[in-house]
Amino acid sequence: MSGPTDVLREGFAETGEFSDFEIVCGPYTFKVHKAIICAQSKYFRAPCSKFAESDKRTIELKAIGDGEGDEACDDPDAIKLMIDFFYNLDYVAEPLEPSPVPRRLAATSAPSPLPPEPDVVPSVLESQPVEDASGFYVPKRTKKKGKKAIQAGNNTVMHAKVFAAAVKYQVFALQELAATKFASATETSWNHTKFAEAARIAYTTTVEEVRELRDAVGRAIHEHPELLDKLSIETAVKDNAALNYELLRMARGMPAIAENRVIDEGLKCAECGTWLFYEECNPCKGEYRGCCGTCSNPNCLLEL
Amino acid sequence: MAAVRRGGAKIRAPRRGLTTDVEFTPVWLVLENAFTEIHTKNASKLSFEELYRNAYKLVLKKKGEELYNKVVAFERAWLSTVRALVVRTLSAPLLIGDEVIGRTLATTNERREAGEKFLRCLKQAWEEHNTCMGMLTDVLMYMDRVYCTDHRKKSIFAKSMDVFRDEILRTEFRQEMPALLEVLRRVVLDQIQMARDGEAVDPFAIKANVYMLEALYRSEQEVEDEKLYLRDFEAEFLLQSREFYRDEGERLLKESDAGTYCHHAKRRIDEEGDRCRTTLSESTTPKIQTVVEDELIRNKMKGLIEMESGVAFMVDNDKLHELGLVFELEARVDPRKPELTKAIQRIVMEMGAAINNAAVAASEAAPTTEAVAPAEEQEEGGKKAAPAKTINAQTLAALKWVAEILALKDRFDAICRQAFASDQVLSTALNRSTADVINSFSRSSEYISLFIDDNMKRGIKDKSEAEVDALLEKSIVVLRYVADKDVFETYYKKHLCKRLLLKKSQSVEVEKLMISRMKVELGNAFTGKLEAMFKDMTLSEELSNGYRKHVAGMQRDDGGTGGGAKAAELSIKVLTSMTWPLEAFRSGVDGEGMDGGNGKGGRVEILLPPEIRRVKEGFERFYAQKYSGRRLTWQNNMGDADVKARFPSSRHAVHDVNCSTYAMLILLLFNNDDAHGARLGGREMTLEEIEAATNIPMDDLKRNLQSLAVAPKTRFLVKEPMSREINAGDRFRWNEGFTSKFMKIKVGVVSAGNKVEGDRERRETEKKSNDSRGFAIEAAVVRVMKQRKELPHAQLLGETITQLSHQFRPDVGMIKKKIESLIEREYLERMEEAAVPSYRYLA
Repeated sequence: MSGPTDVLREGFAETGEFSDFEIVCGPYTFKVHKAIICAQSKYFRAPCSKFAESDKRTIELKAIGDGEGDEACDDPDAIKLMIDFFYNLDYVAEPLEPSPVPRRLAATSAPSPLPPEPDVVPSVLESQPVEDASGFYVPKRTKKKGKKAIQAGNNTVMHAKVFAAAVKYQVFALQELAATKFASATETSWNHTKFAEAARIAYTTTVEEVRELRDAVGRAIHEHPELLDKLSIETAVKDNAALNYELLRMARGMPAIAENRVIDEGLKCAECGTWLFYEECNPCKGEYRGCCGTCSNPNCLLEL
Repeated sequence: MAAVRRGGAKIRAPRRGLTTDVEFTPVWLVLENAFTEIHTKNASKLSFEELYRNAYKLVLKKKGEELYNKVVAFERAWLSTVRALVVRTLSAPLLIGDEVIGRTLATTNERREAGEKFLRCLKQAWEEHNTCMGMLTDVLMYMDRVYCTDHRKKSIFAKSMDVFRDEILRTEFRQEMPALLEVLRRVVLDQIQMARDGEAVDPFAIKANVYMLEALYRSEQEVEDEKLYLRDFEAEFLLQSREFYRDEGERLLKESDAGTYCHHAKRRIDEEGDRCRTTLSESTTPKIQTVVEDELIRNKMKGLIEMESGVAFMVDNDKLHELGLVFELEARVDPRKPELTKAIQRIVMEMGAAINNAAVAASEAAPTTEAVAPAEEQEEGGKKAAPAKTINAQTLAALKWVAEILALKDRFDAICRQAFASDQVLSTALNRSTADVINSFSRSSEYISLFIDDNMKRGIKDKSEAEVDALLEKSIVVLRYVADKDVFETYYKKHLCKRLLLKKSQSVEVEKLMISRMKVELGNAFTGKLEAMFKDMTLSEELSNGYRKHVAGMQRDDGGTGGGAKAAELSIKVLTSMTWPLEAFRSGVDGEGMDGGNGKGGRVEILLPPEIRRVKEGFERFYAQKYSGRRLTWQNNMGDADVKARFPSSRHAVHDVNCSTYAMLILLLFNNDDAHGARLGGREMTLEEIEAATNIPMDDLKRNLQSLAVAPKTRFLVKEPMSREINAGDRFRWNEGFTSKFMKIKVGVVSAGNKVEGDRERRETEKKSNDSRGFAIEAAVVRVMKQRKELPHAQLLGETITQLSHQFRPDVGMIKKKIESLIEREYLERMEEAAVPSYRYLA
């Protein structure tokens, strides 16, 4: 069975034949095809046709550590997986090393609130003997049979990075796939040391309105409160105010973010966005929608 | 209000402001620089990756809103500089060219060039704005996707369009001057006006601006019918166009002829359609066409048609192309084409009325000519002026009428075909008018029958089959329009009867063809009696042959004992009494019964000389053998005879004389060798003696004697005293000195041709047809009531009229009378209890 994606992969992706564009990221240089990448991602349309990149036929995606401030840069491995996805419509993240055996700081004889951690296998997996004994999937490509089984593995960190790249580069199919993989990997590998790192990435690489990863992280911590005992998790939660707030809400039995946020800070300037102090309108008792009076809005209601 | 509100809402120092943000400002500066580069067309130096990453970073840091507002502010500032550029292209001719001062201050050319310059500049501004915003959208894609979507903000592109509209089009750029949007509208309208006046304008410059107006909306909500184009331009454009075309239409109606007007209107409509395609928007096409159609066609159609050079003129001069244009124009605005239909119908009616009046005039003039015609005939009665050759003025009028009606119909059919694209509505209207014309002429049925009669007798001689066919078709065409088919049937039967009996018809084949066509057109019921007449003719032929054989057989048996060798031959036509309109031969004599009426009307039988009587009785015996129980009534007045005559002084020893049966009887009286002659005592007889000897009705007798004793070519008898009229006491004797260079002589009888009826005849025909209509109506009423048992009056009337419509148009008054009469005879009764007047059928 050779579908169009197989043909693409075998014909062009591996050899770089007919490539008309290059994507550079960190150590990698990918020879790609405009037709393929632009079909998957709106992002690449501009550099393929305009700006300096279109002349050079190359775009360099700044990698973490290139000295540009890391939060907006990419992990080259995530970019690699994204490009794999362009050609394969799937990607496989390398499995993580098993967690090191945790040390307990409180050397008391009191029974541990943590469940006795299995050697390597997360407890959830015990009921699923199908899984590899090591708790990892051996990444192998399965033939598509009807509904494709999600090959998630345990690499929550990489899934989070791929997800961030998908959102940034507007690859919607990949965004969905990575989110699914992340959620699935979280369910099996929440107890892995690297989960704290994954949670941090989830809360820093996307805005709060992009909920997929954040919800999965929040749910995992909420469902497994013992995680909060872990130093790695403690550090991650303490560092991130949004995560903090959302966990608080969930602990109170509220949804992670408010459905109807009460705006009590006053009103924003209709034009420039400056906050105005809220005060009830005297004559009509209604809400006042106004303008800061310093911007150039011609529709400004206030002439100060 | 504003003051109150101002007092009510105090603005305090913003708690979170746009104070310089260490994170935000440096990144924004990078972007701002890049945007400036993009707007100044230096984008190819910029790294997209860097810009996108920076914008991405800001949004990620929750600076989306600030970024958005900054970009908007940037665009606003930029566009205000662009506005200054555009305003600079506004040169004097445009600014002084507003309505107040009048357009005359600048020449058209100056205005056109200035306008184009302005349009091109605005076009460029718009196109550059679009390009730049496209690139900005690329850079700010993440913001659009994440920030704008989640905060229900317009995309930066859409927002920048609003900014463009406000900054460029709506901002007042100078005191006392309208904003650029108003200027733009005036310029475009002015340019279009120039284009209409024949100037060449740049359609692309206008089109680009129209694109712009179509892409912008009046308010922030992008409601489809709030487009600037629709609201701020199109309405004004339509209004101005309406005024322009109203004036132009009125001017053209005054100044030019209808043909030119049509050409012009058509050109204008096409032009406006083209203009919408090339210069404005396709969506305006139907609207502007409606405007032009309204102003140039719908509101002007009546005036156009009634112009001196209008439809009537076009028809008169066969201006088919222009008629086609009128048709096309009106078809555009109304599929029913009421004005043109009315006009054409009126013209047909007028022309038809002219034809009808001419025919009436001809027929009224006829009595004088008719009075002359027989006189001439009588004067030269001796000549062989066969009646068939004498074409009566009435007949001429009839032929002319039919020919003209046909020509009229052909003409309008051609117009309809060539100019009106065989339009359904118009051809129906034409047919109706033609029918009205034909039916408004009281003698149409008679004239059509006469037309056929004339053609059957003379017209089809020497004509090819195709020509004959065409002729028949024409007759049918006219006949199709006749409403009173029963009247036509009466005439046709009469004329056919004469043709058949007097052997005037050129070809029986063609007669039969005609009948079969009528059958197709009018149905079996109509032709049944006509066909029966042909059947009688065929049977008579067989009968005559049979009798001849029978006689020959008898003679052989007799062996020549009874002097049978000299027995006259007989050719007989046996006619079914109800089928044949024999009264056609009564020659209009009042109170004259059929002769040979076997004493029914108290008339005595015609006295036949023995040799003739023998033949007659022989045939009666023969016929009685063949068909028992049938009675023969002899119509001697309709027969003719071949007689051999000897005149001592003539060049030929024996003349073959063909004359009517009556003439033969008269001549036989004077037969020298005949016993009768001797018995009657010599060669001289008075009128009364002849009457007594033959019993021929006096009127027929006089006419036959006129032929025999007055007409110079057939003057076998000498009359004393010699005069034109036959008077009581006139004496006749054999004209011993008769001489003729022809061996065969045909004795004509005065008046035998099919002429138009005299008034009295017409009254009779009318009365008869009224009688037969009466029966038809009664029959129809009874048929309807038998089926329905009970029926309201109005419905009964309706159904009766429908049933009879293929025969004639029944008169409502007559139907009412007949219903009364049926009630009296107890076929029907009134239903006393019914709410509306109703009848019940009494079985």
